[in-house]
Amino acid sequence: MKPDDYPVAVRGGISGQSDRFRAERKVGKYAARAREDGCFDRFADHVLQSALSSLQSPLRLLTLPHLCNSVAARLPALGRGTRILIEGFILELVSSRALLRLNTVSQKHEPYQTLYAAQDGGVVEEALSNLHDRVRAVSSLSLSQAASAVPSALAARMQNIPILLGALLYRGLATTDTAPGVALESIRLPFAVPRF
Amino acid sequence: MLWKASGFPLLCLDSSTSVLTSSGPAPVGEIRRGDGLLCLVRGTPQFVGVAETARVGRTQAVCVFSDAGHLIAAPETTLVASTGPCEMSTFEAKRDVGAIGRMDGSWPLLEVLSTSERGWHHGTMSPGAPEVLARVMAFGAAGAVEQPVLRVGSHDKLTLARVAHTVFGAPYDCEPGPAGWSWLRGAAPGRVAANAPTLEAALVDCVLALWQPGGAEQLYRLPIEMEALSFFTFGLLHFAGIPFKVEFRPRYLPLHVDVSLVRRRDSHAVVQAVVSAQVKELVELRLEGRGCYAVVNGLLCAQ
Repeated sequence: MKPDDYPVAVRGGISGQSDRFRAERKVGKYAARAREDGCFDRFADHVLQSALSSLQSPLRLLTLPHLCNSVAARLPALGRGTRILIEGFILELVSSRALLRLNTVSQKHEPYQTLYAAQDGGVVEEALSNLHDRVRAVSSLSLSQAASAVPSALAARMQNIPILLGALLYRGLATTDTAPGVALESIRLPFAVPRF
Repeated sequence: MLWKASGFPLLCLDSSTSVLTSSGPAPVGEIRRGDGLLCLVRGTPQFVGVAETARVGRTQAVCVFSDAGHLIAAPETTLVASTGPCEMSTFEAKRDVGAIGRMDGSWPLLEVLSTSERGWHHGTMSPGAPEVLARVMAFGAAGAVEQPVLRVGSHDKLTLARVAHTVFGAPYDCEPGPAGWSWLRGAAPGRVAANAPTLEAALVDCVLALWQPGGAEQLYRLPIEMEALSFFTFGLLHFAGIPFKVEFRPRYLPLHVDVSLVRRRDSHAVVQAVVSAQVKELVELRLEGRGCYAVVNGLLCAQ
């Protein structure tokens, strides 16, 4: 796909070129235009392939802004007017279930969501199930113990582990003694002996 | 498939969706042949027996979010809208195809069971109280197997004390936690209250305590993935005749559901979003009566 065929946000500075753009759609919170309708579909496919490249090999759990940046970095000659549309295309991939969401909590114990490829849904579910079983069996789990309990595809990237443990906190299946604002070190069952 | 033989609309629901039986709300997955489900028959609420149930091999479904609650069902299942019967797949097709990454669409209003309509049950939940408490323990189960620990929202002390008294009897321990959760356990190991309350209000309190406080009075919040609990809560509120209003946020792809105990403005439900869904199990129901509307999560499904 040539950069000239990328859709562009109407508010992204395309004045003077409007005769070039015959197709218009809403993309996320923006109105966007392109040469023809097919350009939107082709660009959506580009975003999907770039998103999958970002999320797989190794398997990554990424926030929406991180994934948007990662996708943008993989698309050549991307202008600002197109870049701001990527979020809308990714949200469409989420609603069509090509990408899945995992809700978790941040270091400040605030909820946020990460995204991963639908093909990795089984691995992520297995990891969460393993971690829950493990913490129920031994009452508390450190980061390194957690890393050994999840499938190797996820453990290959250490940043995934606190996200997975945070998902158990988000669901109220475990608690932590790590103070808000500090990187998550361990989780434990409610009423289990605290680890410091 | 049963529906092909019957010629009547398919009633094929996610196994965790809530239907109303004479003893309270129950997940579709637990419904057996002969159970009575609340239906509207020529506009009158009455219990209609289940003739047959079947597990369906497929897992592809559609989720319709509305201000009266959400429903997950097979694409061929027929919701009753103000414009007439409408398949779930039709709702999905009414999404604006010219809008990428948005949850825009023009959906018809949905018919709902009126919470002021109480003629179909006797006003107490005594037959179902132990079952409701058992479900509270199951939905809120946290901790090790040997001692029941109940995950609750981080509500005020008075609310938690009331719930702990209902569930465990007094005394109890409470541990506050992160992300809006706290946990309760009976001080006597393994003990759960022997005398289940018969008051609906106490049971509704217990179920709503499993939700997180939403930041305003009588406003409760739950992560969207805890759908079995939200379905059961909506069913219980309908059963108890308590009016409520539901908001799914953010609208384009809901992450959490807010329920507030206020009456909705409209007598119909307003659709907020429609997404395709993948479920663990779909269950098909065939009722003994035909041409009636089954009450599912408070919405009406044609059969």
